Parts: sequence; C-alpha cells; structure tokens
Amino acid sequence: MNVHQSDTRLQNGATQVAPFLSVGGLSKRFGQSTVVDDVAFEVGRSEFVCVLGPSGCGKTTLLRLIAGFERADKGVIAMNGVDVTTRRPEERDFGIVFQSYALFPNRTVAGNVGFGLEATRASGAQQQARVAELLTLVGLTEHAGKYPSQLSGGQQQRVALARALALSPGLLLLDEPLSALDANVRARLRLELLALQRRVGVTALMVTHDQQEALAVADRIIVMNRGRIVQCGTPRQVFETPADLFVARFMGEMNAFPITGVDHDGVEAGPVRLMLAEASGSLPARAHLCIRPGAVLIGAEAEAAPRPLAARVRQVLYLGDTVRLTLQVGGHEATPVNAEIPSARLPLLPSIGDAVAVAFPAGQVRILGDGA
Amino acid sequence: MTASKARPALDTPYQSSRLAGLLAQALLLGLIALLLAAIIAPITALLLKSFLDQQGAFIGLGNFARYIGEPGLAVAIWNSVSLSTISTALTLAIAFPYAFALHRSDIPLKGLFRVIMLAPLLAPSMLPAFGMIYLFGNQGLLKSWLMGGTIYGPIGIVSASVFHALPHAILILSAGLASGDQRLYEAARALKASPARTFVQVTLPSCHYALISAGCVVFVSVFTDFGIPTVIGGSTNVLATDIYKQVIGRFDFELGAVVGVLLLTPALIAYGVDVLARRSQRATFSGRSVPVALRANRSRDVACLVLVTLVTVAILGIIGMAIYGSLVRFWPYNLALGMHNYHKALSDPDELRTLTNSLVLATATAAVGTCLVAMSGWMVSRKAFPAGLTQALQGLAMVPVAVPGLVLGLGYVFFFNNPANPLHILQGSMALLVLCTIAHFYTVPHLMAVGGLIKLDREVDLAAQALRSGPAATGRRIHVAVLGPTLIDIAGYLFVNAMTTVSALMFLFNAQTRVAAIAVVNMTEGSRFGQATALAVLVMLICLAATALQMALRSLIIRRQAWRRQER
Repeated sequence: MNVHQSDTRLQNGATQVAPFLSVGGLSKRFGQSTVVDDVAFEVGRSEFVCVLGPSGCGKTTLLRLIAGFERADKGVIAMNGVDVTTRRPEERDFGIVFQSYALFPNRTVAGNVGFGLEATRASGAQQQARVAELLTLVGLTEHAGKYPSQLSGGQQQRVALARALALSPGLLLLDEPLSALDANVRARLRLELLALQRRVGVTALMVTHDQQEALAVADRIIVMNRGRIVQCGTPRQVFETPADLFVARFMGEMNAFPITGVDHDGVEAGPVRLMLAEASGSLPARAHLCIRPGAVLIGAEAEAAPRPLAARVRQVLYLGDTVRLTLQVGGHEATPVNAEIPSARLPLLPSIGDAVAVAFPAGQVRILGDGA
Repeated sequence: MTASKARPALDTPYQSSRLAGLLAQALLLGLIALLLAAIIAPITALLLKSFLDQQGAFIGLGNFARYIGEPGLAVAIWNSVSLSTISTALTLAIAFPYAFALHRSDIPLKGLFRVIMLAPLLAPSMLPAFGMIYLFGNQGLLKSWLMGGTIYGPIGIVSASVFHALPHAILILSAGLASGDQRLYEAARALKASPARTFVQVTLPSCHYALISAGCVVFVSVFTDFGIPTVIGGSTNVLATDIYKQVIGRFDFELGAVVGVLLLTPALIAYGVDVLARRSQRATFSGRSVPVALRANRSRDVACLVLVTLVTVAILGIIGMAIYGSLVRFWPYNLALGMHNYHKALSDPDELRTLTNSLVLATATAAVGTCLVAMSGWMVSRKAFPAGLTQALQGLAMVPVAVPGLVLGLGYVFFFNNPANPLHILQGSMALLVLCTIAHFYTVPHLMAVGGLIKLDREVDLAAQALRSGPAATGRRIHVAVLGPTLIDIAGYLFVNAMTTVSALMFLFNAQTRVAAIAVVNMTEGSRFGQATALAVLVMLICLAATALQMALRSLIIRRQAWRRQER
C-alpha cells in the first residue's frame, strides 16, 4: 500500500469509509470573537486527517472542542456513532499528543507510558507487557528507565505518542506535535508518525500550520481560515485545485494577478490571458488569474507553447533544488512573474536583463477569488 | 497491532469524576470561607471598632478625633515615620552593596556569607537589640563609642531595626540582581560606556522594582514592629508601642482600634506602590536572556569583600555579644560565665511552658499551614476551578502581607472575643494562636506553592485527564512530587516565623498559652535581662535546629527524586 493514498479513494473530499468522527455545525465564541464558526466534517476510520491553517484560525480550539477541554456553543460531535458533545474529556474515547509533549516529569518513560493503564483492571504483568509493546512500537525500549529531562525532543515526542496510544483509543488527536522540533528531526519524525498510524490503524486528526507536513502525511487536508473551513480535500486537490487564493497562497508560492479585463474572447489579468473556451464557470468576486511558479514555462518549452510571450529576467535566486526567476513580461512591467525551474534544467544561470520566452499553459491557470 | 483494539482486560472502567469534582469545589469554598474568617473578618472587626464607641454605637470619626487630641500623638507619629525612613534608607544602603557582592562580584566564600547574613531571621527581633544593649547600653562594653549618647532611644531603634530588616532586604535585592542579562552589558561595552555609567544605566534600572519592593517591605516592617521599640526604645514613643499602651494599659479598645487603622495605612500604601511598580516593570528577564558573566575587576572584588566582611563581623559580633551576655551570671557585676540564666529559664515551670508552647505553636503552624497553603497554591496554579473562585482565593491569600501583625492580632481580639460570635469558644486557646499565626504568614508560603507548581504546563493536567486521571488523582500522582522540596521550605519558613513572632500574638495570649518570644518581651520589662537574653538565644537555637532539619530533608528528597537532575 502506498504511503500516499491515491486519488481514486477520495475524489470529492468526502470520505467513503464509515466515519469514526463526525462534527456538525460546531461553533465557539470567546467573548466577542467567533473562534470556530459553523465547522462540519467527517473523519473516516483509520484515516489521517490534517487541519491546516495559519495561527489564530481556530484549529487548536477545534481540537480542544473535539477533546472536550472546551465546551462548544453550538453543534454536534459524534465518535463511533455516539453523540459525545456534552461528555467530559475522560468520557470520550481519544488519546492526545501536545506540542509541548506534557510528559510527567517525575516518572520514567515506562511510567509515563503506563500512566493510563494504572487505573484499569489489568494486572501488573499485563500492564508491563502492554508498556513493553508500546515502547517497541515507538523504538524506545532501551530508554524505558530514563526520565523526560534526559531525553531529546524527538524522543520525548515518541513517549507522548506511546502514552496516548496506551489505552487503545479510537481517535488520536495531535496538537502541532512536531512544531517544537528542529527542521530535520521534524521531517524524519513525521514519516515515523505516519508509519505508526498505519501500523496501529488508529483514526488520527492532526493540527498543524506547516503545509509541507500536511502534504506529506495527510489522507485529507482540512484548510481553515478565521474559524471557517475553506477547503477539504486530498493533498493533491488542495495544492493543485485550491478553492481560493488564500488556500493557494497558504499551500505554496503562487503568482496571482487581479483580473483587469473581460471581453468576448477571454479574460485578462496582467501578463496572463485566458481564452473563454478554456475558462469555465462564472467569475468569483475579486477574481484573480493564478499559476504556480513551478508551472510557468520558459525558454524552449515556452516557445513550443501556443502563446509564448517575451520577457526579461529581473532577479535570479539559486535555491538548491530549484532556481527562482523573477520575470517582467513586455508591456506588463508592473506585474512581475515568478517562475521556478529545477536547477538540473539550467546548467547555465541566466543573468539579469536577459531576454527569455515565457508561457502560461492554459491547463495550469486557475481562476480564484481572494477568499476574503 | 490492530488486535490491540479489543482488549477487555485493559478497558478503563468509567470513573464518575463528578463526585470528586463536587468535593473539590466544596474544598475550595471551604478554604475561601476559612481565609475569610481568619483574615478578613478580624480586620473588618477592627475597622468597625474604630468607628464605634464603647456602647457599640456608630460615632463616625469620633474616636479618631479623640486620638488626635491625645498628648504625645504627634510625637509618636513623627517618631514612627522618621525612624522607619532612616532605617529603610540605611538598610537599603547596606543591603544593595551586599547583594551586589553576592551576585555580581567574584569574592570567595559566598555560601558562608549568605548563611551568616540569614542568621538574624532565626532569632526574635529583640535579640540584636539585646546584643546592642550589652555593647552600648548603660553598662555596655563599648559604651564610650556613643560619646555620651544613649543606645536607648532612636539610635537603638534604628540600629536594631536595620539589623533585623537586613536579611529581608538582601533576599529581595538578591532576587533582582541574580537575574540579569549579559547582552545588555555587552551592548554597553560595545558603546564604550564607563563602569559607572553602565552601573547607573544598566544595573540600577534592572532592579528598580526590587529596590522599591525591598524599601516598602523594610519600611512597613520597621513601622509596625513592636519588639524592638519596647526593648531598646527607652522613652521614645512610637505608634506600635502606643497601640499596646491603649489596649493593654488603658483598656481603651476604641483608641487601640484607631491606632490599628493608623498602622494599617502605610502597609496599604506600600502595597499599592508595590503593585504599581510591578506593573511598570518591563520584563527585563526573558527566555532569551543570557546570565551575567562577571568581568574580572580586582578593585570591585576587594571593595565587596571588605564590605561583606564588615557586615558579617557586625552580625556575628552583635549576636555573639548577646550569647555572651546570656552566659554571664549577673551583668555587669558578676562576669563569671555559666549556664545560670539558662537554668533559671528552664527550671521555672512558667518559663519552661513558654518554650513548649512555642514549640507547639510552631509545629502546628508548620503542619497545618503547609497543608492549607499547598491546597490554595494548588488550586490557584492548576486552573482547574472556576476563574472567579480562584481569583477570590488568590486575592485573599495576598491580603496578609499588607496587614501588620499588631493590627491582625488586635482584630482577632475584637472578632473572636465578641460573645455574639459562635467562634467565641476559641478565645484564649492555642488553636486561635495557631490560626492567627497561619493567617499572619500566609502570603509568602502561598506564593511559594504557586511558584512551585506554575512551571508545570497546564497541558500536563489535560494529558492526565485524557488518560482518565481526575484532578485529585493527578495531584496525588504528579503534583505532590513536583512540589516536594517547596513544601519542606514552606514548613521551615512557617516554623521559624512562628517561633520568633511577637506582634500578632501580643494581645491574644493568656497565662496558659504564652509563648517564649512574648516571655522575652515581658522579662525585659521586668529587668530580668540575662534570662530574657537566654530565652531568646534558646529560641534561636531551636530555629537553627529546625533549619538544619529542613535542609537535610530537602536534600534527601532531591536526592531521591532523580528526575530533577538534567542529564542529556
């Protein structure tokens, strides 16, 4: 099974598997501001869903509502078919991993992982066996006797994970679990997290502000902005067919030009022109024509395209894997275009002022409202 | 691994935490009620009393007017204000360089100096006064140093007060000087600032809150102290001794209440100043601050060492003199050394009882007080209860620091001696003394408990809750361990303060419940000087032993809690 789910399973952003978690009409206000505004979505059994958004968009509050640490003003939360909206956290079936790890400082790794088991009816031997099983799962068996202050950040996070899974919860909630770690540790740990989730098969809901993280691990991404869900779909859907400019810009770099003219032929925005036959549907409010820097064609490829344009290079940034060029199309100097080309295709970097051909493939141009 | 989903033996039984939650709320309300009865009610009784006449009718400011007409009042107020101001200035002038020497210089034996500096805390406030009397009193060894002046009066009050207040001021200033930011000093160096300019522009501003705080604490402590002016004040009258005159001497409770209100005023003002200063204090110590690294500076180190040595010699000298005086059979006529005074103090059943009373009071205060403070600190810091209630609890816990002991004690008389009060049965009992002492010293231990727990993320509690562990269970399994050493420190603090306190208990004791510190004051009034000093030294020795025990327990606990050590 591919780590990355293929598109066939989830075409339209809705889950086809029986939902474990379903949330409807959820709202929460703090004082005058509505932090979570009429949020509704489902998470299928064993699915890994990421809630993605900028700081202050309400994603952490949403997680806390689902956990029960906050009480919703309106709406319904159901787990495994049971309405848990009014239930206290200890009456809901979930485990949680926090950004700060929140390990118990006075207990060893084994003591932390076994914390939840101590109140169960399991015998001492059963508890020990379960703890050993979990430590093997996260690869910390030889650290069982250490205290949290003796562990690295990545190790502490794994302890938190094992602790959350100890009681075999139906739902695993993760509140920006990797944000406090170094970049390279983060990249490695998120794949371990994904592999773990697949092995255990637990339904997972993760909150993050890092779009790379969401793209890497999620089966589906829920993008939030200012308390509302803006888009819900697979990583590919959210990246390549964003619902609006906000989602597009959040997921990565995007060239966006406000539409300046509409005529019988087509739509014009800055240097980009879209023929009417290629554009479909009506124009959203404050519409932009948008194209990803990675989709912009330059040089020989551009000349082979239907409508190449002449442009001059204004800036060259070598970024390692790619080169980012800022180009000014003739006649549209006020609206520069960013193009991102794999370094391998540019053995010779262009200089500032060079003339270069540029083209915008119609299939890659999107019409997006600004999501305000 | 998916088979792990179905493990009946590991199913957590659904625990009804609603009952535990209700019990915890009841506990919170009970604690609030207790603090209201122990702190607010007595103060209110005193305030009310100052506006009532002897028959209980409301007469507005009548008592105040009567007090203003009293002869000697202006003098008493002037004496209190001026002596407190001078003492505060002197104390800060010594304490600041001392704290600077401890934290910003490279002198040897810092640990030793710090320990000796704390010594006056372990003795009743009268002990330094005794030492000074032996040295500079009418039959003092070094009487000639005063060149015709007398130690009995302003000089004695100021000197003994400075001695008594020095450890408090040094501790507060140490907190301010200990946390500095090296980056500021590097910036000053890069800008070529001279050492003097750096001191004025960088060091002083970084601890201006500590200076204000220390100044307020010392001023109020000297203004409201009773023991020192009684022992060494001579004929100098201050407000603190005046309240005693009115209440015990003349049974004029209404005037006593008026003096109580007057004593309360500077404390309230100081508290307000403190709050304002704290608000204006910018956060000078952030998570990114770098600890101050000392630059080599020989002249600074020599100057600091000289100062610290002088102060230490003075402290040891005064206390040593007091001990010497207690061993002298009959000063100044029979200078033979012996345990005569101690024998007399311990063989007299009344005097011996005062010592046992002190021990009972101190132990009960430490035991009960630590439990109460642990609860209130836990409730405030874990945020598991409705915000309004915890704010009320925190507010109540902060009140005692603004109430002088004399005022609280007098309030207790008015509140608990009132026959209409069902709690009247506590009158004159040791239980009431314990309650009053706990109330008197509630604030600092409460803050210590809050401080000990506040570093623990709230999310730890949430994680525990998700693992089916309610607030009480989590408290037992996690919080107590985290708070361990702090609880020992709190118990030690309460014990020592209960052993040495005089002011709050001055009006509450009776023949059965008289404590040693009060006996010391009584004996100096009756001129049994040697015995008084011996008793004070005994109190100090008990406090020393308690502190040693506290340190031993503390290091024992920390050694057992291996998780506190940071190893990577």
